[in-house]
Amino acid sequence: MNEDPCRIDSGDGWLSGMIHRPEGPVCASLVFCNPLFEERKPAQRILVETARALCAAGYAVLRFDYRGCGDSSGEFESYSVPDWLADIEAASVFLKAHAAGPSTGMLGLRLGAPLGLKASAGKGLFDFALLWEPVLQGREYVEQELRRKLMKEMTTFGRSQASRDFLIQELAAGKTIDFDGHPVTPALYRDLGGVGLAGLQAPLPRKGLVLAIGSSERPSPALLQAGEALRGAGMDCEVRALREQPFWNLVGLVSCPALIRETREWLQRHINGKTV
Amino acid sequence: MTEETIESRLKRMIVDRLFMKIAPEAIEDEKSLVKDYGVDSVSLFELVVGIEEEFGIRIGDEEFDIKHFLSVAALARFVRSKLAAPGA
Repeated sequence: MNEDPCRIDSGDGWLSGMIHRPEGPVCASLVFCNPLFEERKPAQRILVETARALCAAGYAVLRFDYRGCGDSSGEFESYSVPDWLADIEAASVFLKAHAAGPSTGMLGLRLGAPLGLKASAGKGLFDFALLWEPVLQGREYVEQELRRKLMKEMTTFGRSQASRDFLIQELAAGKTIDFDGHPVTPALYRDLGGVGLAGLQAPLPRKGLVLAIGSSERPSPALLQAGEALRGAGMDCEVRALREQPFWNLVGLVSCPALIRETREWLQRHINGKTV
Repeated sequence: MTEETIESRLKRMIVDRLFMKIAPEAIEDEKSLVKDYGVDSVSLFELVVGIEEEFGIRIGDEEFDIKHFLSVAALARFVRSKLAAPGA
């Protein structure tokens, strides 16, 4: 099993990546689409562990940072959704050139899930998709992040310092607001509103697994509905729930063996060495 | 619904949603959720969503006041006040 750092040209800059190549033939290749904002760093360890586990099972994996994130070029506030979609496309082209398998898919966590699907929609970048606790609608996600921001203010100052309505008015008025060190520009706020699992242009990846990850043993009605919409758009997808910790929100050491096992077994059942 | 039931439901929900490795009944009502049980600002978000789902209430942005989240006893008082409010 080989892990090699790589640099992938994309738009006006480049992406910092890591390619995991199995020793033997490649069963399939996967691009990992990271979450964004505060969810990215805590997710790193599990994503690395997953990449290594899949690589040991014969899958090639490309992990990378979007422009403006991690070790990739540029500053966060200079980029928005269309740039990150272009980054995913550049990553998929790179992976196909350097570790091609019979099929290529994506594994997207949280916001990375709808971003990966949107990048692929209409272009057929990916043959299959693994969506881990996907963000269903970008605007709702922003509202949720604003709520988190207010809660952080509460733990720091004793109570929240503003309201979501006020922060959204600030964005609408052209002001940039801070999500724990990530500047959210009005353009990014607007673009995130167009990200979600509904209304994606065909063709979508042909096979998919949507996993709800958290304390609930059943997928939420909203997630089941999103699964229906994906099936309606031509993706043969399963929606399941897995009781694991929301590791993208946790600072301490977390291990998610069931999640990695479930992912590997789904790939082995549905994708292994086949052209999807 | 009795006060004790609210507290028991809160403890069960906290242990379940935060994947805590203790029995719900081991959580003491007056002990600090932050200092004694390791609840941080990120976990508080899970807690708020859990309270809303468990009790069918909506917590407004203006209600994010740490005094409501100090302990199970404080949370129970907050939930009780929300449930007693007109329109709850």
